[in-house]
Amino acid sequence: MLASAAIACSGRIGEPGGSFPSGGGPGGTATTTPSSSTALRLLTRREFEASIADVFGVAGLGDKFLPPDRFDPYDTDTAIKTASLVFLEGLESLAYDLGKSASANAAFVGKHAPCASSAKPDDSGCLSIFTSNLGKMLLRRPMTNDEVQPIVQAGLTFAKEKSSFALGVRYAIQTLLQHPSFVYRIELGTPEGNGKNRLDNYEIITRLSYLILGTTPDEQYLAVAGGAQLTTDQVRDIAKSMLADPRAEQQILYFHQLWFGYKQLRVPPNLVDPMLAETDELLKRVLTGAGRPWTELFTSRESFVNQALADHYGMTGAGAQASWVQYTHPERAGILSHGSFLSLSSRNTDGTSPTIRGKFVATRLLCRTIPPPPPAVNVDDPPQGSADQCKAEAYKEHRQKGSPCFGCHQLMDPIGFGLERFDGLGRYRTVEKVNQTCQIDGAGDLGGGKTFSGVKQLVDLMLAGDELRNCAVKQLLHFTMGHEPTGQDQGQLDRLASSFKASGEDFKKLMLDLVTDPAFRLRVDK
Amino acid sequence: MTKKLSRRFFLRGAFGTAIALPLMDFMLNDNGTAYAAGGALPCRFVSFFVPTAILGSSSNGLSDRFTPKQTGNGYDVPFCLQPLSDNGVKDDTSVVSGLFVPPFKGPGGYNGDYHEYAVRSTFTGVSHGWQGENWRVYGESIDTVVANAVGSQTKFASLVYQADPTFGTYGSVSTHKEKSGGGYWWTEPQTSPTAAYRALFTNFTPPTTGGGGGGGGGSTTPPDDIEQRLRISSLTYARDEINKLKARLGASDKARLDQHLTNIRELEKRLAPTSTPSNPSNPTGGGPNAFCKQISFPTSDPPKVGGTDDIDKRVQLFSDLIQVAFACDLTRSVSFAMSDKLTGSGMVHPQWRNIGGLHSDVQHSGTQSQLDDANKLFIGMYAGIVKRLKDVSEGSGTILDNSVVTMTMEGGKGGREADGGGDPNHSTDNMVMLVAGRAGGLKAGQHIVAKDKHPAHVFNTALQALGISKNLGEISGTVPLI
Repeated sequence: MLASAAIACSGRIGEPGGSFPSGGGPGGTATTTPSSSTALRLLTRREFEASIADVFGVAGLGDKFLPPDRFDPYDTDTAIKTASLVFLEGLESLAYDLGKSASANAAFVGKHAPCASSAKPDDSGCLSIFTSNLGKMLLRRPMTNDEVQPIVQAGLTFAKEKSSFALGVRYAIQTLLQHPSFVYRIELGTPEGNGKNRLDNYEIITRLSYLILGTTPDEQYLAVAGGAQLTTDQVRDIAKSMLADPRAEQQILYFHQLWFGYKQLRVPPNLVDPMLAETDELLKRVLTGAGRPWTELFTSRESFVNQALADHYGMTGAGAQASWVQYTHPERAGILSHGSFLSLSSRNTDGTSPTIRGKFVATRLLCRTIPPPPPAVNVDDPPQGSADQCKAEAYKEHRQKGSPCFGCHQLMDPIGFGLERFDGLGRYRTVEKVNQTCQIDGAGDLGGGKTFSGVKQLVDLMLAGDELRNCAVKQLLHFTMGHEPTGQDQGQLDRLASSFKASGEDFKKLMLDLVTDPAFRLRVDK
Repeated sequence: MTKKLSRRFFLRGAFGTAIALPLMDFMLNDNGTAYAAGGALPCRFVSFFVPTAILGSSSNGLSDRFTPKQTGNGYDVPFCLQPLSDNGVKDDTSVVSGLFVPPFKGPGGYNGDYHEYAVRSTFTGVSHGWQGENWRVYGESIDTVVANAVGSQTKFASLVYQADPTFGTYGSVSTHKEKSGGGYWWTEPQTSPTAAYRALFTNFTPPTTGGGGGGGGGSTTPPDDIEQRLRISSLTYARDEINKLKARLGASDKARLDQHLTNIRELEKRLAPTSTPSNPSNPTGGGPNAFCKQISFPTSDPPKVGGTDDIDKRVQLFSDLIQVAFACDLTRSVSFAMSDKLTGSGMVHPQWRNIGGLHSDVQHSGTQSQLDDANKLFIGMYAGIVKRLKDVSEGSGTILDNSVVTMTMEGGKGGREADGGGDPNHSTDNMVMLVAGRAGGLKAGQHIVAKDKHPAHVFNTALQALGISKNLGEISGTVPLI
């Protein structure tokens, strides 16, 4: 049997979700596989939550009623989202509950239809006003008369039956919440040849709002969309105003949380919350508030730890309450020194897999491509050797030219071996756990002879080149468009990456460049 | 088939959806196949899946403390099966050992992605192919096959639950064929106990003691159904708008909306009026089943404990729902998975949290007691479901007497050198399944060695016991439990 380290099975531990076969589930035929060019983007649970909170002023309903999203690593990925029965059942319950409560809220109803306070049960004009006003907010575009009238007619039937105009309002709310144009971000656009579809103003505003604010566009932005075709300058102005909103920072933070994927830590319970806090606080510090350089995510020489976590890492100077503590160890820097990253490949608590770590750095942080394991290889176990064998020896087959493993593993293992002096819980060590006569040299190679040892040197190498920066751009585009960028997106990626570099890695500037790039206003058939 | 029945067996929804009352199991199913003789009470099916793959064997140097040594009645109870005795369901539960999923000879020989391959083949009875970079699924899982046959008779064609609320690498273990697109998909499981509770009791009020529709529903007074009509009308509107939208979309987006429409249809059925159920336990009339009642239930899902999802509590809540769903005859097919993280990769539980993960740390390199304790924990969860069904009286026995409750794991023990195996941690050899209940005359409380039979043979036995004349996937034949 070929020995190989785990990738497919356990390689995703530590992420909020996991991967599945490209194409989204076990679709047996191509026709049911959502393509990357989909014009239907099912809102994420987080987007439902925010949109409903904004329109109705009620928080917590999305989380209460809707099933959790899968992540791969982004919850916006269209390939892994369908309107499943569980989702639709939750949405229907949500709509029913919210219809009841919101229709009983005179202030809410009156805001969309002042006529409602004195409306008779058969007042079709007033129910039309309510439906089209609320509908515009929920559907993110004006409703057509053909859409409004069936709601009004059915709603009035119920209202008259029970002599209650409010019942008609309730029906309208409940129905609008299940309208496909609320449930999906629909990006039809207008075909303009070469598979390109030019989005209309509402579609553009909707893209901007969900990308930058993570929620539905408000009345002010929808009003702008109702005007003449948006110019690039207008898009820039709108984006700037959105980026000044505190929610934009939360959205940038959220993107990075998904990118780094550290939601489910497999560490002892007393370390879970401190480790999550350590990474969350670094991201907040760098990405929100008074701007620190984006690169500090990787280079920070301070970490947010409490006494327990500091003791665990062997750091001194922490208090009982978590606070920023200086690293004294020369090999530590930024997020890659955190337990949240270093526990990614934990095995037997402090064992590690150089392959899993190497793969994460290579693919997630540097966007390198590594071929999938061949079907004949059991990717589930680390290389089998005797128990007291040193790890370098056990992994020898991966590292020998001519071995069938070498081709792929040379792209992963040498990076992971450079981090071997950190155990699976983020502690520094120089000898292996099982056989303590095995010294760990910590010698790593990022590829092309770029050797390093430890996190600090790895980060220095990554920041000296363009790969990390380019990958951040590519990941952001994936998050934005809901699918992995393809060759057709290369021009846009190149433009954005060069301006990101020129700006000194100003992430808000990157967002601005992204949305003002001509490609942002297109949906391309792929 | 329904046309042959008297109108009094149905309540017609405002939008034309008809839902049969319970007690329809003497009817013919959609395929025109008669139910088993004497099946006057509804037969139910539960498939419980646990993401463990490993039993002790010579290849991993551990003892097998899972498979009984004695066969037939009165088998011995190894350490891992102790919860069957503790819950008083050992004599209701058969052990089938020696099962084997033949390896798929993919490019390069041995089945590489063991986990997905083994589980999909187990649940569908279909060999799965390697396409390009991915394993593909070509079959419907056992719970779906059951639901297709009997699901039209209940409010819920099936319930698909998963205790672990976070998703893993592979979709859920339940798969179905899309009615519109033709492809096979995994079925999104319900992972929220409170959402599952809400769904069960939407538009359904359990009968009060002594009331109900004894005698077949003829005495049921139609309720004021405006709430149902309101809800179904909104779905109808959504369906119309989706159909309008479809005309403007490309083929793959149309297929996605077809899935949406299919699910709306199922939702309409769930929302259609349901009368108080007649009494499954007494076809000639009388009061409703005492266990069919509004159970007390938390209003929010169990909070995390020590950063970990409270799997134990979630399993308990879902098990309670399965009990009440069967007592009220709301469904007859349940898929309940612990996790879709095959072989427990990334699945968290306090029992192994401190030693790492269930997959590599417990199953690949755990000690005897770590492995045994994990397996015993899962058997305890299974036994808890079986016990809940045994607790519910029905006719002259219990609901368990009219049920088949299977427990399936991912793998077995050993490994065949001849198949390129010999891998101590990944073997589809000597797999064990548990089968509880006596539906259709199942023999309970046996240990049967079904050497080299496929797990689908056991599911075929379950189908036979349920009165469903079908084979699972490509596997024909049964194991002798009837």
